[in-house]
Amino acid sequence: MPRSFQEIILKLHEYWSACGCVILQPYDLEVGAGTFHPATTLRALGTDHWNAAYVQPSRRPTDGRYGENPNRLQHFYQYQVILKPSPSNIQELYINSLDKIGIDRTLHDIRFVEDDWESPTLGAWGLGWEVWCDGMEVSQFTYFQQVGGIDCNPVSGEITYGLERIAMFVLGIDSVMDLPFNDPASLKPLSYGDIFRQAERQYSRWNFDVANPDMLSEHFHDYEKECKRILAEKKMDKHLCESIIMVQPAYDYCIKASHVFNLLDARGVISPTERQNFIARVRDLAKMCAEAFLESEQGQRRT
Amino acid sequence: MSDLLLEFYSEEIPARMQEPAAEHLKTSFSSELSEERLSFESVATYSTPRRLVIIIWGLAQSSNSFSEERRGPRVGAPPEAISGFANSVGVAESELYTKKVKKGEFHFYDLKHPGYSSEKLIKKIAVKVAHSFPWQKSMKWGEYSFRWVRPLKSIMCMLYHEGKDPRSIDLELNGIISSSYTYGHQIMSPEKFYPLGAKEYMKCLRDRRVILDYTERKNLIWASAKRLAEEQEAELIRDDSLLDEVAGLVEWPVILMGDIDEEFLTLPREILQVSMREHQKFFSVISADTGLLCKFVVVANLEARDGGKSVLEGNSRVLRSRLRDAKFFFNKDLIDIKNKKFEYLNQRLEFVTFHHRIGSQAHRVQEIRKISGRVAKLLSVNAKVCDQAVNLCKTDLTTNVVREFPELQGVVGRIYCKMEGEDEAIYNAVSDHYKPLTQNDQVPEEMVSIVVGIADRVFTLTSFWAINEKPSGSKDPFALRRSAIGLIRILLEKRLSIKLTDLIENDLKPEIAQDLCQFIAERLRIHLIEKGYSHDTLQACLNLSTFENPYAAFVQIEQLEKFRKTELFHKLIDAYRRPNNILHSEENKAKRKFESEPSTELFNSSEENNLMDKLVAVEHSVKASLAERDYVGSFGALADLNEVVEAFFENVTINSLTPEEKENRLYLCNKVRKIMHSVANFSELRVL
Repeated sequence: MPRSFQEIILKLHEYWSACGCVILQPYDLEVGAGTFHPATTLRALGTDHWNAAYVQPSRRPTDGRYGENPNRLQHFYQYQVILKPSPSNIQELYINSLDKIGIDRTLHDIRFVEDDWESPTLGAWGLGWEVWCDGMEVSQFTYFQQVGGIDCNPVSGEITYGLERIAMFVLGIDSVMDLPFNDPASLKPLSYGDIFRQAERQYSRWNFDVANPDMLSEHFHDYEKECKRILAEKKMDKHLCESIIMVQPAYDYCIKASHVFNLLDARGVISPTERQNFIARVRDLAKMCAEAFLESEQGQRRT
Repeated sequence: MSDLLLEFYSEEIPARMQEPAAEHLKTSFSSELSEERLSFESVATYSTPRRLVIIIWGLAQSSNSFSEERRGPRVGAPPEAISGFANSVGVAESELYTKKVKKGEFHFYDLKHPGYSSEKLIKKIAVKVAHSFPWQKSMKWGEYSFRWVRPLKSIMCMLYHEGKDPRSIDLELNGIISSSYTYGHQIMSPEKFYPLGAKEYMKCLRDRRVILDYTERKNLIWASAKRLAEEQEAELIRDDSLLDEVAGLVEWPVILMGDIDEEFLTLPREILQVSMREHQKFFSVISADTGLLCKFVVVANLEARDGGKSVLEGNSRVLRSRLRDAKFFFNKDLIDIKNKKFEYLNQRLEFVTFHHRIGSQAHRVQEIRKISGRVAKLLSVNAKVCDQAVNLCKTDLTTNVVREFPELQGVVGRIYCKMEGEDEAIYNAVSDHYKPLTQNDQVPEEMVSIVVGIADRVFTLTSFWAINEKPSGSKDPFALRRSAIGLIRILLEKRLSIKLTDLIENDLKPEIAQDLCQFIAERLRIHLIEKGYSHDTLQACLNLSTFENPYAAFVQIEQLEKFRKTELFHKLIDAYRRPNNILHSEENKAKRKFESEPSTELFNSSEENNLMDKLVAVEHSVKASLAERDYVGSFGALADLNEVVEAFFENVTINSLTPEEKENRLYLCNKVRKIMHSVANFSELRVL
């Protein structure tokens, strides 16, 4: 049985590593979910086989509760697994992973309940379930059908564990701030709250009341422009005299635009009409990046 | 004779899709079987979260052979024609025979269609049915191109013949290949097994912790949950739609009951019940002593090693955290209401958008008020009470509880209104005007709720129509179809005779209003077809002028549907057909209608006079019956025409040599048809 939040992460790494996944590190930009990592969004496109797992710190500014809600945070961790093509035993692999972190299938009621996933900003959707463990939603399970408006072929299976939730379940803790982050028996035991409570308070205040909307709006425009500009560049690199399509730098700006939009949304300065408009603009960027990826060397390679 | 077992074993099929899928499997498979002339004794289909199964009992070894008599060219036709015919049926000319029929003597051949083996046909049918399966949403997975609702893990297709080894039929669905084994319960019995017969398959599944039959699972869940509650001297609250759903979430239902922490017992029952049901799919249990909601029942899919202790603990913990949220928000609302009145919260509706092109929720309430005034007048309901009900019907959208649990809209408003001592009619309307929420939900009971419910839906439909946001194809983001169906169901089930034009009056441009009426009429037609009314009765009764008043149209449809089963109906149809047929051909020839009043002066037979007299009388009584909405009376009156019409056609030749006379008789026929059509368009009706 794992005894801490970090041990759960280590066990998942160990398990998925043994399953043949590359264990990646988090993407170094602010994102709303593990799906935004290029290891998922871009790699779900094209024909290459690809199996990866990683932790992704995720930010949802509107969910901030000043560290006072037992279940809600504006910054949290997702554990993301992407398996392409989705193997036929993917559910078994998942249930085995639960065993590894202390959820015994002969003691706990594990259920796959219909829940189709859609990301309007990524132009992506898939069919799948939310996974319930004794009535608690612990993971999201999706077979990607489209990303950036493009049909996925082969289809990837995506498993997203809500790490705080799952840890609270496994460790029997009712409030996220009380989660033991490291081993409670260690020299200096620390809780999730010891590490993140102050940050939650500060970001909640900044997200809701202090962030500079004018600056953020300007950033959104700049990021959007930069993303399009990068993709509009000629393919030929002048030093190497080879084609280099700069998908990832462009996609970075798509991610940045998406995050700035989330900040503006939390700040409460976006009307419902504008909201749809912002979403559509980010989706356009995501689509352009997806198309560019398929043209790039990586997107073309066949396994 | 043999039995066929076909199982599609997949990852979890959404609960709501399982039974419709089983139903489709049954109808599509049986109709393919009869198409192929492959006979069978009976067919049954089953669904679980992971399987879709069809069993065909007593399947014939092969399809029935039959011969078809093909007629060739006339005797004496050119030789090329005859040899061509022989070629087309694939035999020598000498094998043809000749026979005399009504139109002369012809060459014939009896074409033999052989029977095909059941194996071959089943293979063809199964593949066809699987490829064209109408899942609401389907998907691809891995590297396969086949589409199904969720990934298929295996297909088993077996023919069992007594005294012989089971035969596996090889199927291939774009690379997915059938096998002769399946699996038990995913967690408790994941091993493969090879069923040796269809009955044995069901028994083996039961041994492996799978109850194949959906209804059996449902009954089992209900009975065990009820027993558990009764043992604790408590009462289980019946919830059929939850039962339907839960039975589709488990292959092996295990029923557990847990306690609700005391700190939550003070929460209003509705809030407890909705959060347990919507989020956790728990049933509610009420204590016989206190009448309080004190326990929950959860249906697990596992016989756990520890007897369900961990499962129950986990579920209780999730419930606790949810209820803690609910309680927090409820208390926050109570403070708001204590400081100011509930009604005062309406101020906040200004800042809640209903739709960016339509306006705020405050605007919505103002508009609904106007409409409800009109509707109250039409239905003679106290307009002041309705107005106050509308005024409070969306207030709860600004409460903390509803913002956190949107599915509690209406329920929360009701609770707060009740606490503030509003009239029963008002707080009932605040919650019930949303009804019917689903197909199985009831329409509201009380008149105030009905008025608000109608006004709310009329506002929704007219305002979205005004900005041209209409449902198209599978897209209906504002659930406008549901609004229209709700409106229709209220009008029909509460027997309210209101014209649609009176409801949507002066709010819309005429052509937009017309389009909306058409849309509602189409929903009415679909609703009634789903209710089992026959297509042609609807066709005969629904037209531009009738669907204006949905309830009146419905009464007519209902009565015509009954009348069609009587003897009198055949008389009526006979009286209709002859004049209609003649008019039809004459109108086509002359390219004009014969719509003038017949002139009695041109009559020269008693039959004409009799028919005319009768028509005048019938016209009169039909009018009177229609005014009373007594359609049966009007059908009866029309059937009365039968004898005089028959006498007229027996003794009077329409084609008189005098053109005026002929024309006048056609006027007479037209008068018959006109009177008939004033009741319904009988040309649409088949004779049963």
